[in-house]
Formats: sequence, structure tokens, C-alpha cells
Amino acid sequence: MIRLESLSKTYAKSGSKAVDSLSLEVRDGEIFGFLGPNGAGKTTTIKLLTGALRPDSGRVEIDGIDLALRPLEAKARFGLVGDNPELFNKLRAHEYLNFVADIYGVPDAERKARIAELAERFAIADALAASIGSFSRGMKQKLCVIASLLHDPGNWVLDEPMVGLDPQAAFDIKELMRGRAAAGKCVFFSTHVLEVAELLCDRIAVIAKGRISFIGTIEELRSLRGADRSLESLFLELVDEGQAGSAK
Amino acid sequence: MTTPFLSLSRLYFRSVYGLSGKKAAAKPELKYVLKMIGIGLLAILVTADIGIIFVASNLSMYEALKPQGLQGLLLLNSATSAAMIVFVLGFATALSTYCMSAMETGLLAMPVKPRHLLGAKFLMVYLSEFLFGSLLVGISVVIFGIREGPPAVFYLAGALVALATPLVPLAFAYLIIVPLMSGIRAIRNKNALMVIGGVVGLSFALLFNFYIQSATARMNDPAWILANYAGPESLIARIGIAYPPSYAAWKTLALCATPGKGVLGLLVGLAGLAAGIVAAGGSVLLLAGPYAKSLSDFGELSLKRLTRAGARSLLDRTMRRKIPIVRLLGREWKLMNREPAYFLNGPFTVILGPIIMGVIYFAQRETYMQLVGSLDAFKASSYAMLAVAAFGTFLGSATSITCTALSRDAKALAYIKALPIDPVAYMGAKFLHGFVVSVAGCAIGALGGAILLGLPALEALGALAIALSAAALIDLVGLWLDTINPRLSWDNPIAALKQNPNSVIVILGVMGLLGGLGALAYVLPMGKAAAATVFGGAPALLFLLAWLPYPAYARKKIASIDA
Repeated sequence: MIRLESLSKTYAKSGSKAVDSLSLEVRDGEIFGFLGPNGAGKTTTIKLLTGALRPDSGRVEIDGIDLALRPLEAKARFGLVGDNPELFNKLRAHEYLNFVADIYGVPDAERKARIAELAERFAIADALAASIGSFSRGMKQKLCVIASLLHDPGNWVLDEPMVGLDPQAAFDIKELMRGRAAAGKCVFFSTHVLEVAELLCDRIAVIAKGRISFIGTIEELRSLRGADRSLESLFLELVDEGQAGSAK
Repeated sequence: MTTPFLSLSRLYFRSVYGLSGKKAAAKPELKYVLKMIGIGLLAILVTADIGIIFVASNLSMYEALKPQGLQGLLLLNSATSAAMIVFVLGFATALSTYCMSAMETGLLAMPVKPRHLLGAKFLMVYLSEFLFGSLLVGISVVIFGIREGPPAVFYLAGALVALATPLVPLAFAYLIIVPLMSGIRAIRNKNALMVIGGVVGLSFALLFNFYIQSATARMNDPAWILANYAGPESLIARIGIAYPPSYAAWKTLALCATPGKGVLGLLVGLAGLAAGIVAAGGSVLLLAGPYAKSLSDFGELSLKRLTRAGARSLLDRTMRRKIPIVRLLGREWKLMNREPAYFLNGPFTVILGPIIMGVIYFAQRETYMQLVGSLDAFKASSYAMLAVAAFGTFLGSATSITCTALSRDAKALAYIKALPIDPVAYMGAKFLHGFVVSVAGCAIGALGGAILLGLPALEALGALAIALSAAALIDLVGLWLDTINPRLSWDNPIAALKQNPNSVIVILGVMGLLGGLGALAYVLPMGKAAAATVFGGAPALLFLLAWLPYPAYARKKIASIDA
């Protein structure tokens, strides 16, 4: 379970408020979609939730553990697929996976079995000895997905996970998300592909200008705003309202 | 409207030399002004440093040649040396700027003619080599001019020669490089170019060092200078006469130095310049197509594929649990040593230092043997041990690994911070990485120095202990600096290292520290055991004092970084 409580963050350099009093809760067993236009604050929120950024105010809890007070314990409870797969290009794929497995303390047999299964599933088993620098963007993204699941985390956080993936890999990720939610684990991902959100998410949050415009199920959104409308038009309306509200 | 060729030339020039466009009329910031003053001073220092070597060698040659009436050979020597040096430097520059990352990929998608691409690149390399060639030719021309008082047209001839000098060597350089790059796929990537350029540059630097060291040792021996450098039978004179552009340059200068023959000399000079332009233009036209083609798949890395059984075997072999600090250390080690720019500026320094010392020793061994023979009093005191320890410390702390530790990880920091890694283990691994290389540097420096000076084993170990203690302290100071003020915003990984003020502070600090300790040792003479205890113990104590507050600070600082 992930709980964000009144999170705010202003970047010191630009002075702009990227996240403003943001609160939400992602329950175990659900897939939670985090939607918003470019620059809305999605990546900043994910960086706050994973500890890459320190909030100006507010709290982050992972499975009830306060990220600021017990960071190592909290971080051990999620797996992250970040927005930038261009990491450690000089390492070989198996070296990177071994590194991540050591950081999470994954036992030998478990890491071997999990890497074999996931690498086979994402069709990169034959590239495990290769340098990550020689990978395509999609292959790097698949590698990040595998690394994020090595310790079988209770909470899976993904920032724009479908970018650069081929249809098969995108399908596999969706299946993994569903499987993990069905197993009682929590999945939190950001996207601006509305079809993916509509297809996968138990609940969504829409963010605009650092503030949450809506949290709930898509059915709830439709019942509030009009049952016959497309998610796209609802989303655009929410974003417009959020931006107008923020400008006031 | 500017022509595509000129726009490309300007783009390349600004990219390579880091020159931005015209500044807005607003008052420049103090930081910018100071930076420009610093760069200007550095340029003057480097030019003076190189220039003084050539001024000294040219003066010695002139004095050796004058009594025999062969002083005109000074100009042949100068034209030939300049052409050879410009060829080597131009080759390395042309290689390192062959493909400038994503920029060229973008240009290939535009309607740019291949001859404009290569022509603009050639012009950009030419400009830097022209400056260097002008310095070398200019020194000889000015020395010859002051001593011989030739007509004013001689200086005009010097300018013509300087303009022409880089053209043919650069055409040759591209005639070698483009076919190589077109034919060998494995070297069409940034790392291979950096390694080849590094090897060429390093070999040249060592040969140049050997040349200067040997020449310095024998500069007062006119017969030796005549035989080896400037006499009619010397190698340089033979190469110069066999290489038409040098011969033409020599004739241009010699004719213009002779009263009444200036016009003829200028015609020869203009003919040489025209021939150079034809050679350069011809090489561009000839090579433009293959050049553009070689850029199209530049940087593509082939993916090493495993069979199903191979993948299984790889997992069986490699999936072994290690404690995080060891894995973190391994990560640091691999990320640095597999990035040529980092390796060459980091761990390789420990190898390069002794090679340069070896070259100096080899070139000046007679002087050195005489010197060592007269050092008995020095060796009997604690000074010899301390001098060797200082050399070990210098070599052990020359890599600047810890001063850029956090800066180098800037792009990965957001991800690293999301992992359950204790910042102390993370930064501790970075310290260990720097210190492991320092141990190698201290061992090579201190033990090598002890062997050269013939110190007893116990003193050699004392020197090593002092060096290790001091290098550990310097590594920790570097780590502190890069934790307090990391350089986290860069586009090119080399900027994390080369444009990092922490490295400069530590390098200058080490020099100051060693100088200060040398002065202290001189002012407070002590026995060998006391010196080892004081100079080894003090840094160890300071290390402990500097380490104690570090973990808390590192945790706080890393948590506060907006990654």
C-alpha cells in the first residue's frame, strides 16, 4: 500500500511549484493509474514517492512505513521502473541485474529463477551477456522492468512504462500488472495513454499543475461528468479545470 | 544568408571549442568574466610553456649552425618539424572529431552535401593546427629575423608558410582516417576513436618528451645538434628535402631572406600554398562520399547474443550474492574503467606517471647516475624517504577519482536514491574505489622511487606508509568536496571530470600540501623513525577526524539532492 499525504514540492532553481498538497492512497490489490499532461507533476510525484526528491512538506508511506523516517525499509518494499532507462550503459545486463539483486538481498536461487523467467518472457534472455549500451530503448525498458521485479515487491511503481515497448512487451507488462494486483499487490503507474488506463486501472487520479483534479474509478468519473462521454474528453475537461483553478 | 558550408564550419567550430554565440548586450556575470580571464591566462601559460622549449632549441641550433654558414637549415628544420607535429596532432584531432555524436546523425537527415560535411570538418581541424603551426614556424622566423636582419618580405613569407603548413599533413591524415573508418566497422564508435586517439596522442607525447629530454641534456653540444637535428645529413634535413611542401617552405623563406629575391620567394610560397589548397580540396572531394557513408552507422553497437544453453550457463556462473558494498565497489570499478574518457583521466594516470618518469630516466640516465652518486648525505637523512613518500603521495592522489565520485553518477542518482542503499555504503564504495587506485599509485611511486634512489627496505616501507596515509586523507578530502558541491548538471560524461572544480582544488591542494610539508621537514629536521611517525601519523589522525562527521553529512546531503 502506498499513501501520499499533503505532498508539496517547489523546485529551488525554477521556483515553480511542481506538486501542491497532493494526497492519495493506492490500496493493495489494485492497479492505480496516474494521468496528466506533460509537465503536470507525474514524474515529480513518483520521484517524491520513491525518495529521489525530498518533499517540502507532506509524508510518504509505503506499507505503513514512513519513507523519511525509515528510508531503507520503505524502499525495499517497492520496485521502480523509472522514466529514464538510459542507466549504466557500460554494465552488462547480467551485471546490472546482479547489482540490483544484491541491493535487495535476493538469494542466489531466487534471483536466478526470476531472471530466467522474466528474461524469457520479455525475450531478452539471449542478450543478458551484452553491454546495456548496445540495447535498443525498448530492450533497456524491459531490463528495467525485470530489475524492478527481482525482489518480488509488494508495491510496483512505474513511470510511463509503455514508452518504447513493442506490442508483445506492452501486453506482457499489462499481464504482469494484472497478475500482481490479483495476488494482492499494489501497482501504481503514470501514463498519458488513456486507452491503457481505461483498460487496466481499478482507479485513476488526474493531475494538472501539481494538483489532483480527480480520484476514483472511471465509472465514477463518467457518472459525475456524463456517462456517454469518452475518457479523452473527460480527461481534457479535468485538465482544463485543473489548470484554470491553478491560475486563479 | 550564410552558405551551408560556412554555417556548418561555424557549428563545428563552436561545438568543438565550446564557444557560444554573441553574448547579449547585458552586463556579463562576474563568474563568466573570471572564467574567461582564467581561460586566457591558461592559454598564455600553455603557449609560453610550449614556446619556450622551441625558442631554446631554435636558439641552440642557430648558434650551432651559424659558424658553418648553415643557419638557413634552421628554417628547413622548422618547416619540417612543424609539418610532422601538425600531422600527428591533426591526425588525433581529426580522429577525435570524426563523428560528433548525435549532431552528425541529425545533419545526415538534412540536404547537406557530403563535401560540405567533410570540408567544414577539415576547416575546423585546420584552424587549430594553423595556430599551432604558426607558433612553431613563427618562433624560427622571429629568431632568424632578429639574428640575420632579412628584408621585411621575409615575415610575409613566414605567414604564407604558416598558412600552407597544415594543409598537406591534414589531407594525409584524412586520407588515412577515412578509408580506415570506412573499411573497419569495429572502430566506427566513440570509444574506439578515443582509445586510438589516446594511443596516438600518448605515443607522440612520450616521443616528444624523449626528444625534449634528450635535446635538453645535449643542447650545449653543437656537434651533436648538427648530427641529429639540423645538419645537412640529419634525419630532419633528409625528411625535409624529400617532402616537397617542407622544401618549398624552406625555399620560400630562404629566398625571401636574400635581398633581391623576395618576389621569387613569394611566388614559390604562393605556389606552395596553392598546391596545399589543391591537396586539401582534392582529398575532401575524393573522400566526401565514403566519409558520409561511414557516419551513417557510426556508433552502432552489435548485440552479443547467447544461445538458450549459453544464457542458462551465464546465470549459473554469475548469479552469486555479494554484500552490497562489494557490489557497489564493483559497479564503480566497471563504470569508470569501461568509459575511456574516465579511465584515461583516472586510473591510467597511475600508469602514465611512471612511464613519463621512465622516459625522463632513459633520456637523461647519465645525468641521473651522476646525481645519485652525489646524494649520500641526502640519503643518510630522512629527506630521501620523505621525497619518495611525496612522490608516492602525488601519484596515489593524482587520479581525482573521489573528487568526482558523486558528479559522475548524476544521471543515475534518481534511480540510485530509489534503491534501498545506505548513502554511507554508497559513498563508502566510492571512497574505496578511489583508495584502491591510490594504493597502486602509492606503491608504484614510493617503491619505484625507493628503488631508483637505492633506499633500504625499511625506509621504502616507511615512505609507502606515509604515502598511503596522506593519499587516504586526500581521497577523503576529495570525497567531502564532491559531496558538498557535486557537479550534477552535464551533457557529456567527461564534463563531470574535466569541468569539475573539485578536481582542480584537490590537485592544486596536493601540490601546496606537499610543498608545505617539504618546507616543514626542512625547518624541523628529524630522524627517519620520527619523520615516518609524524608525517605518516598526522594524516592518519586527520583522516579519522575528517571521517567521523562524514556519514551523517553524506546521509543528509544525498537526501537533500533533487535528483
